[in-house]
Amino acid sequence: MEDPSAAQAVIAHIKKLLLSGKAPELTPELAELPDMPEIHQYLVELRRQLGGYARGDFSAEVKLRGVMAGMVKVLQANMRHLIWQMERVEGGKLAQRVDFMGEFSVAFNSMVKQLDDALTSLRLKEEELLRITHELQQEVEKRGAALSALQKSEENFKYLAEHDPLTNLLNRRSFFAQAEVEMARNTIMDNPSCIAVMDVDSFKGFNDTHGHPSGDAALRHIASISQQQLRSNDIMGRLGGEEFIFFFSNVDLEQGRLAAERIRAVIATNPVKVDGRRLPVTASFGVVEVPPGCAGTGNIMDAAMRIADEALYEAKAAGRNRVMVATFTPPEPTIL
Amino acid sequence: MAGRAFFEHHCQEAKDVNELANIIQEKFKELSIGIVRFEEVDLDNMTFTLTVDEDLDCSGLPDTEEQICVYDEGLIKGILEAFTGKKFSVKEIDCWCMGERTCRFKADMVGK
Repeated sequence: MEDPSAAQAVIAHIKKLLLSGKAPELTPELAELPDMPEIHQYLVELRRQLGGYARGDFSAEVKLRGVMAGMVKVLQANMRHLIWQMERVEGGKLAQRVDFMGEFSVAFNSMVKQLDDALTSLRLKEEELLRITHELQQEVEKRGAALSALQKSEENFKYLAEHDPLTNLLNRRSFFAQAEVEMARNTIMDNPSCIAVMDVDSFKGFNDTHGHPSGDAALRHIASISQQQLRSNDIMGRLGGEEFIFFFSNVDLEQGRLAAERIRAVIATNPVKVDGRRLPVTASFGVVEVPPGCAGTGNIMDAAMRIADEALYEAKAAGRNRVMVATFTPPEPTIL
Repeated sequence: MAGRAFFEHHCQEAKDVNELANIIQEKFKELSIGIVRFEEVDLDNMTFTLTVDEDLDCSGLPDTEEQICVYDEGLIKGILEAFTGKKFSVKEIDCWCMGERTCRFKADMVGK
């Protein structure tokens, strides 16, 4: 270039390209200089690319060639690689590592490792928590099952303590406990009640003839069909052997007699079925009324039962398979 | 062939593209083939852009007017085809020897 002013113009133009905020236009005079348009375009393109990187945009294709353009391309490739790595980490891929990128590598790898360690720690804690929760649930279930078993056992024990194992009727103690409660209620309501004792006729002979298992079957049969004749407030119990006892609530003596008669009839007309055989059985009854005014005076239940037993003996003496009644006599008050 | 053999020897365990990329980076470094950096992985369009620095094909060679890394093109093509089961075209779009100071490759699935 011979013209010093042309050289200065070129230098000024390149200086503007490198330093000015706005890229200068190529003047017609400079455009005529050899290679000047290519140099101008190269620097304009470089500015544009670097401007994009400054804004975080690494997407534009670098169409230039040469060492400077190559450095820009390397920068672009490295940044895009870092972005790709960050997207992998965001997606949960924590095995990502960056190499040969100086401080970027150190910081990135450290960050990912810490993230990985934190997530691993959380995962282990979660697994531990799940394991403890599972064990706790199992323990709760085990205890729940043990508690249920204990409750069931207690219920069974209570049932066995209150019931006769052969007939499932109330045993003597439980019958009297319930009958006294029911009697007290009737007393408050000023209602009479009846006690009836029942004895299976010729039961020893029945056992001798048919065997004790048949005898047990007969007792179970009698208990079952007798209970079917009771009302909801009536109570039945087994005193022992072939002897049973009834409490008829809110009935007078005639009503009590009729209730006992109903039970006698159903026993007499329903033989026991044992091994395909029908074995007839009958029972005798003694019934006594306990008027409401008598309750609370001495041992009413014992007195009523004794009187009912006397009526029962009369029924046996009169030929069995019948109901006899008796009048209640209150016991003598105890003098202390 | 080299790409398929590379895949069969080193990349069989890769369950997804991410794992494949990690294995390629690791193995290329280990075997001194180059330093691989993925720029873009588009699974919807099956295109991949990656750079290989200190490339075995052209590292240390003087600048020239031609792109040199033909072996790498074939290697990358073979690996991608073995992994995806699809045909790929791999072209070096920037080469160190042409002054770019990085060897950049673009892989496109053929016949989409």
